[in-house]
Amino acid sequence: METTRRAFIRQAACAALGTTGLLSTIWDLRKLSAAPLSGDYRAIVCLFLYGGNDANNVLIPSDSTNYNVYAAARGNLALARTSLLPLTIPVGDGRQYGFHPNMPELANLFNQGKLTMVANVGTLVAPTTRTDYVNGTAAVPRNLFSHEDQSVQWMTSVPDRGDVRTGWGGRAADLVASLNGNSQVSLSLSIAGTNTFEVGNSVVPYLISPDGSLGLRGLGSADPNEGIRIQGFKNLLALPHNKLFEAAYSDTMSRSIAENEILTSALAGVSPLNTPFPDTDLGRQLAMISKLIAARGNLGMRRQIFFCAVGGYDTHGDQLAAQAGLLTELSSALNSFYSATVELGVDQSVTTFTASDFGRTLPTNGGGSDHGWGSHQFVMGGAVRGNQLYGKFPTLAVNGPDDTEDGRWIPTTSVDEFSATIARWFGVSASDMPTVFPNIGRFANPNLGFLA
Amino acid sequence: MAHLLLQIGRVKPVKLSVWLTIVAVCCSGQTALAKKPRLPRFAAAFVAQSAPASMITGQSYSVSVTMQNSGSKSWTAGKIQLASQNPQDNSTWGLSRINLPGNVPAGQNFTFNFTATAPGTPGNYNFQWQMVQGNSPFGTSSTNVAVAVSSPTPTPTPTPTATPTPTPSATPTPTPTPAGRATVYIANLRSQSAGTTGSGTAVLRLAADELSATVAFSYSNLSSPVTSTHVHGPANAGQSAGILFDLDTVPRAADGTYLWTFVPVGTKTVADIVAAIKGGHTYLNVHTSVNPTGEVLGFFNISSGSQTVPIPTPPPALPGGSPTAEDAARFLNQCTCGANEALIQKVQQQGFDAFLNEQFAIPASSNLGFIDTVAIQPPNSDDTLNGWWTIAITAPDQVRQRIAFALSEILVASFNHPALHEEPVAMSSYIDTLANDAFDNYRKLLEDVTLSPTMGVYLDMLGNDVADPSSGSHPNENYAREIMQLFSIGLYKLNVDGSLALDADGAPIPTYDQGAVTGLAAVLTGWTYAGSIDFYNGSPNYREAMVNFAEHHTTEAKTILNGVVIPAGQAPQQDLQQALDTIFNHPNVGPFVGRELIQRLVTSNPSPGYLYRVASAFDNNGQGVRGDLKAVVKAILLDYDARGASKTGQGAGKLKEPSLRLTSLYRALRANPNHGIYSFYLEDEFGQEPLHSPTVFNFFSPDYVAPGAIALAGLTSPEFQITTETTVVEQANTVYAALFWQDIPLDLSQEQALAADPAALVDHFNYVLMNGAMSTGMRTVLINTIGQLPPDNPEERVLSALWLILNSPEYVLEK
Repeated sequence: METTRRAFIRQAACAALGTTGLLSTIWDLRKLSAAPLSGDYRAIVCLFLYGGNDANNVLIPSDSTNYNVYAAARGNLALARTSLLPLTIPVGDGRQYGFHPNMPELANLFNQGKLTMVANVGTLVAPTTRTDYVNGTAAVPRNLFSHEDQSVQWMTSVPDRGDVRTGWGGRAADLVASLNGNSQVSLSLSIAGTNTFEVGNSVVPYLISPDGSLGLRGLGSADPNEGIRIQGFKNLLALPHNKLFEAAYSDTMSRSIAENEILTSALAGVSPLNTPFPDTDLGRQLAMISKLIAARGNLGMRRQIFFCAVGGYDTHGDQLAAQAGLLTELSSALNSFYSATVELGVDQSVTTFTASDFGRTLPTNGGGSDHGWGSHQFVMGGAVRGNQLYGKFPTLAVNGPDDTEDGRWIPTTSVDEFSATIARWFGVSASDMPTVFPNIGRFANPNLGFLA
Repeated sequence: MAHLLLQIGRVKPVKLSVWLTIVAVCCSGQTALAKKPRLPRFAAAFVAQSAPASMITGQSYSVSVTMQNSGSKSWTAGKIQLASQNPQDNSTWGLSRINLPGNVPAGQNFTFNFTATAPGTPGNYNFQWQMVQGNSPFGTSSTNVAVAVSSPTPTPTPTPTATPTPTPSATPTPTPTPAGRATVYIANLRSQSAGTTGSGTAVLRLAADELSATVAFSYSNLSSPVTSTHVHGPANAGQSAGILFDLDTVPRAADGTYLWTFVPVGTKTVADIVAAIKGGHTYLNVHTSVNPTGEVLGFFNISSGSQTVPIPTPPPALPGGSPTAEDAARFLNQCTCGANEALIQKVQQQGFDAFLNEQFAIPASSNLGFIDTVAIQPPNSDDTLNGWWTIAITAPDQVRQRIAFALSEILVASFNHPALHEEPVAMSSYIDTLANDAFDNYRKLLEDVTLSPTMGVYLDMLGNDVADPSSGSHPNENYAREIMQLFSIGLYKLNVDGSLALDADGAPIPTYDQGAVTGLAAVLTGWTYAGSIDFYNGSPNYREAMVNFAEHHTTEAKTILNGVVIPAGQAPQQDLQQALDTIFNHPNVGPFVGRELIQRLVTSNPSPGYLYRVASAFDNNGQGVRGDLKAVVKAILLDYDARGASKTGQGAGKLKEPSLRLTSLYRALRANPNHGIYSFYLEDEFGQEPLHSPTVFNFFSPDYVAPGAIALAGLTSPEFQITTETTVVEQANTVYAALFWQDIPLDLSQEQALAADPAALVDHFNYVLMNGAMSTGMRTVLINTIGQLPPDNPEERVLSALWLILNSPEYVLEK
């Protein structure tokens, strides 16, 4: 024991020396990597619709010819043509389109040019033709039609590998994190729990509930014993740690406590927004994101990534009623969020997009639809180049040119292209694109142009 | 070894290299550009390309296309791409566009190096490329080559080159030299000072013109961050000399090398320096903040092509006699699911060796037995988890269960799979397989895992069918790849001490190529659930090993690892035995599996000597038997590095896994639930729910290196991959709930009796929970904190002491 204690004291002295050098190294790196400061702000919000949203009933052809094709194929899932909310698209693909009747706010935003949809996006290993798919000669994403795999692949944008632990949001965050200077709070915040999308190699997402951030139990409690315990814990963390592993654990814990305290106080310092939010799951999540955006100055943030999510989109049965409820919640909450960004003066700087496990089969299974592949996704914000649709709307025909079989669309736009367009707007340079999207070189359009 | 580190001063590289690795190398143009009037803005001239004239279906090949920017305008990355032609943007070769990594100025050549994957169907395919802007091609296309793609033949073809993508840490890669071939010198870096266990490798390439050299180095397990690195000389082994080259004076190239352009140093001329290098009189020395005069050192010697490593000197002898209570606790925290006072006393009485012998003889507790006897049948997935926790906390076969848990993090199967999510029998049965074989032979374990229907479903060997030329389908390669990459040999050839074996160019040597994966995939065809009457429609049976349907087994000859040919026409079982024997006998298995077991039990950073001794025990248990896990477990737990004083080193110990923090707590505090079930609901944020690994790569990688000081000291830190701002708080809150809410009641009577004396209480926990390793600083903080809590509330004092200790940095780093 005596030897050990002496060794401890010796190492503690040396480690103190080492730490000084190290901190200055990190500081220098940070200074080096900081890009020119211009004070701009950008945020992206990923809204994940868990379960696989049936976008066949979100964006619907409404001219009589194409509507009839849709209605015939959908059977008892078809929405009445007269119920569709008309979309104004000056230059289109020859079809007319309408939105699901329960999305009046989103139809309004579309017609104002603040919201668009990208048609038939999905996970792709490489551009895939129907011939290749049917002949089995195409490389396809691992475990197509599986919730867990497909939702994670949407987040990683690397559908041909099962070992990727980082998401494209996280990898983009790694590249732009230096813009946030010394902010002690993570660039990536999740209001919907752990997710692969925001996991970077160096940036680690920080989780917040709609009520606030995750703190140590007992923190801020009125119970004096809790106060003594928490102070004792902080004293333990503040001890000199001569072991690098102990120091790293202690730093992580201290950072977490600090993040929680900073977030709590930054949120407390924000004046309440005038924009009302619906008291729904998604409404509460987006209200918290609005507050976090409002607190961006207090937090020292010039770039932020948010993750929020709603479940229940796996509509194998009772789809018409279930999806109507879900889209009502979606439309109302997104509309409030857009209004909040206008109120905060950041509508040009915040882009919200949806993602979902997959689309669903076009034909009915009797009461609902089953797991599909390509689907349509929303993009919302002042930076949207609106009044038009993006991507290529699929031919709504079983065994048609876009069908695998049973009305599951082979995507004509890859998740890589969809996401890279957003990442480019967010600030990832063209030359960094392969770092964030390693497969992007296989696809034709690294920028689909839907964001200005 | 894969934990070698070369990412000095950089953020961890993006671990996202894909199966189509695209590497682009910029070459400066040789052509003079005088008097070229009025060129079109974008123009390209085809210079050269290389691609095999024939390929094998599905195989990957390195190819290159060189184009000259013959226009007046720079090619902008992101705007200008290389596109497949004939027809344009075809994805015949697995990719249709290649990006530029940076801009290419007018007049320069650019070589696109990329990997082409041959189509799955035999035939002649066009290989042709052209520059494009958006969808508009420009310039001359590359020459069209009609590549003949054929099916694999039984005899191995020499060309396939698809190597597994190197994962985390870097190793020196060969650098092209301007002219002629460089001469390679390699230095094995070894610790210079007692008490440190660092090691590494350095590679020096002397250019053919002898005017410069490139130097690359990697290291691991240093005591502290690196401060400087030099080449010294001339000196003989054992002597020292002045600095010839300070690596910090030149930038580190993207490939990890430092360019040393020779200049005279003092009285030493360039010729003297070259002579010193050639004569083996130069050495590389890595200096650290704790060892400023140098921590690891090695002399450069000309590479012979088969790198050997020095046999490590044996460690000091361990003291005899009975273990102290602290040593017994340390031992038990390494090899059980948590020390408690009863076992500490037992180990003190029996000694380590006898205790292990007794544990080896205890039969495995049955997870299947647990779920088969729960009241409500059929069982659900929660019952499997309850069984796991209950056995981990209470079972008598503690060492077996701990080894099984370690194995479950190497040979990973998981509930986290769409087909296994609701299959409690599958996961209970799988854990039983690991526990039953934990003290058997690794060869038996490999076979039982291979034929486990749970693994069969998890990695797709179940239902793996023969190739069907009409549809182009081929055997599934998932299990074939992972059994080699993760369960046995890894990606690169290893020396017996775990360091990477290097070729004559100083580069790591892949253990297998794509052909070996394809061949093994074909070996592993025809297996499905036992009791099935039909290969395609078997009914799930997770209790028995898979069986073979011979008509779905590939009967042709198959070439696997090491070029071993499995002859045509053998029975499926015979094919399997031969393939598993080949894998099991690969020399990598000992150091590869040995390292991961050491990491799970004792330390994240085993010294080369420790790994050498454990791998040697794997290779031969002393009676000529290879793969004896009893011998491996003893070699790990009874080694000087586990039992001796080397726990003071920077690389000693490991972060205690979150789920084992919970089992330790319940074992140490004599938890005794009224209903007999130890069950937990863990939030995702906890970071480690047993049996729920997110992928086959486990909760954390054995090679994970936390960025920052840990990376700069060359340390591997696997558990830090699940140590984030979110998980640490959730883990602390889970411990809070376990203590203050006590859904599972704890017996705190003994500890409450000590609560009036905070020092006595802290010292008691120091011995049971921390092996007596608590620092005086921590002890003082604890005593002061507990002394502030009301003396008339002994329970509050005990629980507070526990919460503080269990979440403290000193406890979490298990030494």
